[in-house]
Amino acid sequence: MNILLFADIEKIMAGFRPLSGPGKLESEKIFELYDEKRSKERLEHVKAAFSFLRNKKILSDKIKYHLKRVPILPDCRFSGREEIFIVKKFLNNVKAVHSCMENRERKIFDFHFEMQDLLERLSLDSKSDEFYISDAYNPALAVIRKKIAEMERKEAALKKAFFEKILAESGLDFRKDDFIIVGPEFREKKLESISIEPHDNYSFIVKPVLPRGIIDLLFEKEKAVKEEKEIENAVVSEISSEIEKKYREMKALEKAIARIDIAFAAAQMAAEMGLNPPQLGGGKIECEGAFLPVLKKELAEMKIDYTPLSFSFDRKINVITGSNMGGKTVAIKTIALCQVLAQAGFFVPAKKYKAPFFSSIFCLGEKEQAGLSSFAAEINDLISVLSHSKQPCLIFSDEFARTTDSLQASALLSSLIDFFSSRNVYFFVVTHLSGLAGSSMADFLSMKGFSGSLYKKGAHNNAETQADKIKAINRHMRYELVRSPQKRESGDALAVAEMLGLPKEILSSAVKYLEKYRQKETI
Amino acid sequence: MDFSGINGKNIFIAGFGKNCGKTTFLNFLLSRIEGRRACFSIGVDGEKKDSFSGTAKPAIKLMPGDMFLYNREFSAPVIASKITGSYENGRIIAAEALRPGFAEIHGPSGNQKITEIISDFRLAGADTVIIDGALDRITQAASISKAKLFYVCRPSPDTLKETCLKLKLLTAMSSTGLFKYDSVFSENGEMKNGLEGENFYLPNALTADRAENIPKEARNVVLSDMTKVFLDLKGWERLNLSKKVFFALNIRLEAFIVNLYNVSKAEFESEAGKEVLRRTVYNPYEHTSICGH
Repeated sequence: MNILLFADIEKIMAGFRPLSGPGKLESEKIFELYDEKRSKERLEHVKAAFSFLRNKKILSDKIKYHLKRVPILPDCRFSGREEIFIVKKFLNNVKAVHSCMENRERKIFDFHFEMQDLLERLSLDSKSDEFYISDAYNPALAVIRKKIAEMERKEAALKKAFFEKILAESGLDFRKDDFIIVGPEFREKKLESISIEPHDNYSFIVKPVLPRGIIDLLFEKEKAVKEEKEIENAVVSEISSEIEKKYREMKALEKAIARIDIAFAAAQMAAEMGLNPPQLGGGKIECEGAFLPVLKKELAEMKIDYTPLSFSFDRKINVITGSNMGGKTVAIKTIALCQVLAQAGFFVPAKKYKAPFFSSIFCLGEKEQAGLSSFAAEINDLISVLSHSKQPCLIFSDEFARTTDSLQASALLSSLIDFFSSRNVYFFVVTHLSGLAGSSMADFLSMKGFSGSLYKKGAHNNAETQADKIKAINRHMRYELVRSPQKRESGDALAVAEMLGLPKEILSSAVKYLEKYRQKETI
Repeated sequence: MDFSGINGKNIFIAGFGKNCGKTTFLNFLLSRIEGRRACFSIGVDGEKKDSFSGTAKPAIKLMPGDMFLYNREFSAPVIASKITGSYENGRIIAAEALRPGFAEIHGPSGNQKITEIISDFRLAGADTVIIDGALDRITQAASISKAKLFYVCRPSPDTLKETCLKLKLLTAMSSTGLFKYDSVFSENGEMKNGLEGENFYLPNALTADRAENIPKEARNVVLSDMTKVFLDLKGWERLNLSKKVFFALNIRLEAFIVNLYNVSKAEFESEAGKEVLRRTVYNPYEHTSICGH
């Protein structure tokens, strides 16, 4: 299974919202996880953005306002005024972001704005984000535009007089409309000023026939507009070549904006979700107060306490057992989420999270494959992981081989533990299988499970709906991770089944069978 | 019809069938709007010719100060204009006309941006915004922005019956009651789905199959809006007999713009019925001396 899927990364990333075009584009690549240098750089950027957000609220809002307005640069072939507009809008807003930062901050983001000359050249019309090839770009434009404006005035006056004449002659008003639909009676009207064509079996379309004077004027105007267009095109071509000369520097600015935007979005998410910077390095995975933000929020809405994960994993191989619904999967998903976010250079949902930087991270699990059983799919996945893993490697396994014979599954998992123990692989295994062979490299851990005393009080008896039953289980379950004897058996399955409402007849029979099995095992 | 009531509003123009005259009607409205105007379309218009004037379309007649959207991947506007903004990574350009002239208008490919664009135009000073788009693309924006919707059709002898049935269905649906917005939509704007008590919520399309499978225990059926109904008139009437039907979003149908083609008013009126006629505006470009074809 894809590690991002296992870590439910999509859920938490709903809170990650880059604002600029370049930032949004770059965000598609943030989970390329195995570039340690880039990861460290990004973490420094997020730290800087976090501090900026906390200490400079007004400037932060200003930065966000302008980031939202930074577009993606067009490709290097500039062909028109639209591209110039986009470049102007880009430079205007990048400059505004730049002006919000101090030199120290600009240095962290490698963000240097040296495009003032070009921006001024693009701002002859106005300093706003808008763009228009104004007369300031070429004095010839002012001359031709004046000529066009005069012709327009004349055209309007001529048309007004002409349409009033038609109105007087025929009663048809073309002052607002280019055509009018009329009945057959108009067919008989022989007026030079209008043309009549059939519309359908019942009606005709009438259009004004402009007199020679207006048509000549329109031709004149068209010629003038063409001349204006040619001058404009020359201006566009001139400005475009100036932009092209600066294209590489602009692309560097675009990358800087992406870095800043990603960092501010990550810092904003960290502030909203209570995330903290991780520490990558060293050989041990340690976490304090780690949590899954989305689950924590969901539980809070149900008024259920969330138990964060605090643990120091002394060994690379960790086998986690415990009750059903005891939080085993949540525990390893928490580590997976923290590790993935940390490797992406983000803050993590933990008060403290320390771990090595891994060259590959995987989750073993069923992946539906056509024509294969669940077990065969798992084995295929395992083979693929073994062939693609680069060390140091982090692998999570959530109930590996649960769909096959438990004895053989235990044997397979024991062998896998041995195999990984001799390599630089950190292996987190959640399992219900008992009797795993113990490698000296492996730590056996378990979730604390039911609090016996609380459970016996029978607080769950009042639970009526399924949701209430789940709430009751959650109230009595202790989600702390503890070291445990190697072959500890999880004894809470039947208790959970009872709390969920399994009929007593089946339950009491199951208890009897369990006792028989235990007696056999003892003998 | 007196069109002065459209000043200052968001106007949506939808239509039944190709070449029904939406663009012509848009130009008709533009010439009657006072104050600053803005217009754009939703989605790509496949029609090449205007149904009345026969000119290439969509060519919108603009005046200085008018705001519009165009697609820079298509041809740039002939009209002298100033570029004021962009959407969809610079694909869609917002511009302001500097001289009278014509422009092709385009708009966003998705309907999520519609509300944002309307709001941007308003901020830039537009008094009235006109949106040309298919009915199923405008639902959310039309309902949120309390817009006026004009529905344009062009019944011909071949399409008269079909068009009238469509108009009757729209008329019947426009009198459907509204469910309280907050009790249908979550905070993130997602509509409830499925049976809840005696209410059956259906955010997706209501087809004949789905109508058959509405749970028996549901007394009320809550649909998203009229654009999600894919029943014929009989199917709609049948559903209304067995259940109380509501919409979650309201679209205010202002008028049917009926451009008759080889169909007389008498023929149309006998097919359409009184309720449709109450909302009908015949070919507004018609000289008033034509009476009854």
